[in-house]
Amino acid sequence: MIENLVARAVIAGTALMIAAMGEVITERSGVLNLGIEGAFVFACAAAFAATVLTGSPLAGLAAGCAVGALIGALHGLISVSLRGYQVVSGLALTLFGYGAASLAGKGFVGAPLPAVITAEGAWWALLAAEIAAAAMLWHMLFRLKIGSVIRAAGEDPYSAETLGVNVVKVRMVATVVGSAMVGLGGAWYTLGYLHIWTEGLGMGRGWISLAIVIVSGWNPLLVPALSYLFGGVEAAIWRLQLPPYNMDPYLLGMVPYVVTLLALTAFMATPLRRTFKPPAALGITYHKEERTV
Amino acid sequence: MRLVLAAKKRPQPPPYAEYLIPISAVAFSLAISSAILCASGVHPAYLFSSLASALVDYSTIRYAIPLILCGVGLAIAYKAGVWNIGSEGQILAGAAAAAGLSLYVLPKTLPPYASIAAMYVAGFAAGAGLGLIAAWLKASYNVNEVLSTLMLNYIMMQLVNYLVYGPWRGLREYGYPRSDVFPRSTWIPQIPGTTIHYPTLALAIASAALAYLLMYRTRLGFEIRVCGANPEAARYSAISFRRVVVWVMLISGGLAGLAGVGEVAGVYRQLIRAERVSAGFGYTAIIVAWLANLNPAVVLAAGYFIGALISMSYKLQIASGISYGSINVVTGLMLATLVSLEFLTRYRPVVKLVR
Repeated sequence: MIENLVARAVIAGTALMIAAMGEVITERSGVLNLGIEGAFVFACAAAFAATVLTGSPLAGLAAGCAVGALIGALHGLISVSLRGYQVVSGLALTLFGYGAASLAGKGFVGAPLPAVITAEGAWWALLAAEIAAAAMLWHMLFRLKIGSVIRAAGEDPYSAETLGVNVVKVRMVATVVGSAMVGLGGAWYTLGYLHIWTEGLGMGRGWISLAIVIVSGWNPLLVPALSYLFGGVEAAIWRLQLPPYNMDPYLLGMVPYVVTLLALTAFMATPLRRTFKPPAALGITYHKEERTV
Repeated sequence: MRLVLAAKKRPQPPPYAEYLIPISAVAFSLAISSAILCASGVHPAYLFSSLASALVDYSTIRYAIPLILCGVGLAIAYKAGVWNIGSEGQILAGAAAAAGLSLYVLPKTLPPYASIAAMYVAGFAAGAGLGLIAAWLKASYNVNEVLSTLMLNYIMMQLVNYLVYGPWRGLREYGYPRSDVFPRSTWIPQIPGTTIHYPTLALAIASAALAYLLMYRTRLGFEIRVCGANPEAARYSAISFRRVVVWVMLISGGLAGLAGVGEVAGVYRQLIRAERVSAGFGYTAIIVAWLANLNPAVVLAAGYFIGALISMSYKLQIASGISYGSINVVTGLMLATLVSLEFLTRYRPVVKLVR
């Protein structure tokens, strides 16, 4: 039973992890993508619909990626190219994603999936692959030149530009790629974990992924462990309310959000700030022609 | 040689932008959404006739009440450059405070006007209190208020659901996750034949008027506007950003709290599941605030219009099976268009010849 629970935690955590890794890339470049929630929910619906229509879960994963990339491209267009407020654009796209999910999934509620991805037997392989992926992403961000370029755009875009970084392009690519990964996470959430789709499925999971990014201190190495923890809370919540645990599912469901709020505060108010602080230019629009702020 | 579309900074936003942007955002988003909805089987003519009838329907006012209260508060906060996206949680805080007061504190012998006034005060305080948590974190430790208010939304949502499934679950509700019906002395009265709880409507209209006076006739309003328009200038002229953050979060949180009181004591008359109490009003109010160009007086009209969209979407759900959530396509596109078009107020598009 314990192994089953660990397997569920890893499988549920996988969806959150892929999405959180994507958001780490985006936010490291200085773009706060609050469209993460809409991309996740829209991808759940699109992946499910595509799998039912084509019979192939691979097509479902591709559809999830595609709608994620679409949301990312719109966010990049509005907040990077047109220099609109990142917060407003992201929230608008989250609302759009909610609505688009309702429309895309209409007629598929309760439909049986022709094929599902079952990873229960191979959860340890999934775990190993994901830790390796996290290490690779860390290596890319902190040891390779492309990582320095991304982080420079997120820490001090004006200095980065003078050193030859095309900030607009970097932010654009990081937003589209990151959001496509969010979409992949959403696709996994329905195809690999829940195997069903109903109206509103996946709502709140995008925000949990955002929470993971914050608690990790924007560090990919910490993302898997946090994802399995938050995913585990979700997978275990219904079991923990039964005897002998008798825990309240709603108070338990509050835990990830409280932890995030505390982590966010601790990272700003304590010496942890040195290691875990957010990218300095996160959420701040980059205006190319203005040399000084 | 090639032609390039470039952007040239405008020294001043053009005067017509104030009216043209919301109108074109509404037109554009309605056009795109009607095409998308058409593909899903809703004829555009039907869509627009539903919208037209919703614009003259009583239920529109019922939805406009929480949207206006939250929208006025958000307009003030955003004008200061404070990104409160926590209205959803602040609504719930107000709703929970009103429910607790009504069910467990207020004596049934208290005259209704006193009970209702007490609930409004408690709801305002609860919403403002939740807002002040984010304000304190921002002012003391520079914690990003977007992220803290977002997390507080979900904390409140879980808390209200804990209450209605747990300690506050009604004894006469056959196990449904909702509290007992409030005592009659704490019902906010409705206009007969409608669900318009007029005392809250009066508060909403008064809040818009007072907020307008605050923003354009008082020193604090001036400071709020300077902080949002030019934080550097605000710092040099010794305007305390901390003071502004605290005030705008207190006001916007409190007004959202009032909306929560109205929802539970004026419409449902009991505390129900969190998702149904706040029902996305807190997020939709963000659109109301932007559609009104952050002008509290215009929020009245914007709130009414978005209220009509919500009223329409409930009717569409019944009539054509398009789920209520689909309305988010329209509102989401509207907000995205608004924030994109803002670019045109700050930059003039020019075509340049580049060698």
